[in-house]
Amino acid sequence: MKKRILQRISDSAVWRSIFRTGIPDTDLKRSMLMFHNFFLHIFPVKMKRHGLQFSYTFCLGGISCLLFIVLTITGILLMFHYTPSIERAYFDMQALALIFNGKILRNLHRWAAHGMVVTVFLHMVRVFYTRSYRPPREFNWVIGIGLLILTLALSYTGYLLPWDQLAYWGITVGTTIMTYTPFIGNYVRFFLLGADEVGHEALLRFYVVHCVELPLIIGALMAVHFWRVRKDGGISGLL
Amino acid sequence: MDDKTPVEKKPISRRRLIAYAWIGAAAIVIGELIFGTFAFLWPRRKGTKVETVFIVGKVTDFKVGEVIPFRKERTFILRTEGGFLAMSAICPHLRCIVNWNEVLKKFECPCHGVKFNRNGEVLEGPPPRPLDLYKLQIVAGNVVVDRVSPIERRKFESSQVIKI
Repeated sequence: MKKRILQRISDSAVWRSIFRTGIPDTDLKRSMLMFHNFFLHIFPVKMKRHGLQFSYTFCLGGISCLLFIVLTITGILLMFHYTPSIERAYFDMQALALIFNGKILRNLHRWAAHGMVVTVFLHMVRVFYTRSYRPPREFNWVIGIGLLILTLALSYTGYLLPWDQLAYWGITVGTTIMTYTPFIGNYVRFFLLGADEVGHEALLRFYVVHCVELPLIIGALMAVHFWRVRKDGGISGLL
Repeated sequence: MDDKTPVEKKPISRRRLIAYAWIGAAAIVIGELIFGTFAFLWPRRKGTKVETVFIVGKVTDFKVGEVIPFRKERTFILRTEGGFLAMSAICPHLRCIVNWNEVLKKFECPCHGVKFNRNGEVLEGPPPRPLDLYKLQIVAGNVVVDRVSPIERRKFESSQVIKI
């Protein structure tokens, strides 16, 4: 009886229009299910037994990705209560304490950001010690370097947004270090800050870069990174 | 083309020429877009010039040995026995703002723990040079400071003090 109902649902035109394969009761159908689903297709259809061993990867790349998703969701929610202006930014940040779940969302964002720097770094250490940067995966290592730099850039641009003393002097010091770049140093600082000193131009620039530009770039690079992991034979060598 | 001159180089084919033209056109458009984006994002300088000259006060307002901070102008005025010295409050290390510690008689930078003596020389910490000087003049009994260009120095010399 129960099976008949399931059968009828999975045979219906609506079900078949969404899930092409029907009930995955054979290995072929199971792999088809993975291939033909947008959300599942980044996962492997089959993998080596030792790839399942936790201590091989420590799930560090996956944790980094998960933290990025947490950061995106909490970040979008925080944007609803934040104004990137020097009159309001600090008080908007403080007022989060008065909003239902405001504190926990801000702290989730903050701790996930710290955690992501740690896990991305540890992920690279793991990749290095398992020699996973070697051909044919050498270009994925290069993309990984880009992702590390973008992670640090996101951390740095987000650092200014609370507009407290720590943020103000942190950005003053950091952008002054940039002026020691040969020939273009002063222009880099001027371009990033939008002025000679950290002010409302800098806050607005860092806000846009933090909330729009860098997440878009890191999202695109992450897609390429995961795609190449699959195409280069999965997490633990060629299949 | 004259029939008698031998053609040494193969003339470029029509297909090639059009391909190059397309590539060239695309390069120009992409270059314009990149240039235009950066030109758009390049910060606009403030239209009105910021006033760099400010009047500190009368010569008689200062006691000998005093260090007076001017927060808005980010300047310290030092009154010595012989005259005046105008120093920038911007730390030559990484541009934080230094404070005058009246008890220890030292300038202190909160960012990296730098200490300067009252003449602006580095006592401890990473700065590469003493605090920068500003141009100071005494006009009709008033002390006037121009902050247009900070003067970098290697050490304090008594010639830097503006005599009354």
